[in-house]
Amino acid sequence: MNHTLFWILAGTLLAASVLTVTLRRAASAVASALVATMALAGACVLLDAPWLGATVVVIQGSTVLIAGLAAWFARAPGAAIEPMSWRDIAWGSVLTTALVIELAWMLQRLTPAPFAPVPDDVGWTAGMHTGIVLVPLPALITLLLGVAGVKASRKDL
Amino acid sequence: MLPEPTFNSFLTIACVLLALGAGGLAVRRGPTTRLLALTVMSSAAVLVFAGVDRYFGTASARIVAAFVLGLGFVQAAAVVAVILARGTRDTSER
Repeated sequence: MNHTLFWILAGTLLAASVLTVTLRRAASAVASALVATMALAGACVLLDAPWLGATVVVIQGSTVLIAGLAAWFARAPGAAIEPMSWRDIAWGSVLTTALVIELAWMLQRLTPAPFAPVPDDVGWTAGMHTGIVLVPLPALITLLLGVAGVKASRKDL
Repeated sequence: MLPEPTFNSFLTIACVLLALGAGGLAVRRGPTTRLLALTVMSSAAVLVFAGVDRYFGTASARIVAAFVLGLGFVQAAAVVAVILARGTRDTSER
């Protein structure tokens, strides 16, 4: 394990987490949380857990984006959208470049899936294809919760 | 030269993250910031589980870590559903 890289990622994780909790602007807090997520994923890859790193990117990244969605829905009705400044664009470009570089670095380290190969002559059996079931499960729960929320908001229910 | 990270390093970083998340959860009022504070706390859990796998030679803790991440995702979905429902009700009552 590269010690220097690990400490850089740990420092980034801590600094971005502090910013996530302290920043008042929701968009900046969400951007900081994304940086913290990527730093955590990089640390996982350094710890020889590349699949956990990929899970962190997919699931925790989605969680942070959903939090951004919550901020968007919770904004005051009729509130004007804040225009993007050149400083925002510059920071966004730097962060996006760093995230793309880190994603490429992580993808290079992804080994083949650590699941036992499924024989061709075996059908759907209990305990098999667990990954296929587990991956879309949060998406299905999200969909159901969203539908339940919209249904519950109607007065005729 | 930076020191080699030990298991204690992971525990220390995770403790700081957990304290940050708990502090954010207690102090901040907005739903978004509270959700993000929860995310910070789940990051601490994932870091500890990844460290356990690395330093104790196991491979099962990362599965628990994946479940912790899934739990955070479902919490976020529930919060968005509540916000959506509240927003729709506010609009319909106007």
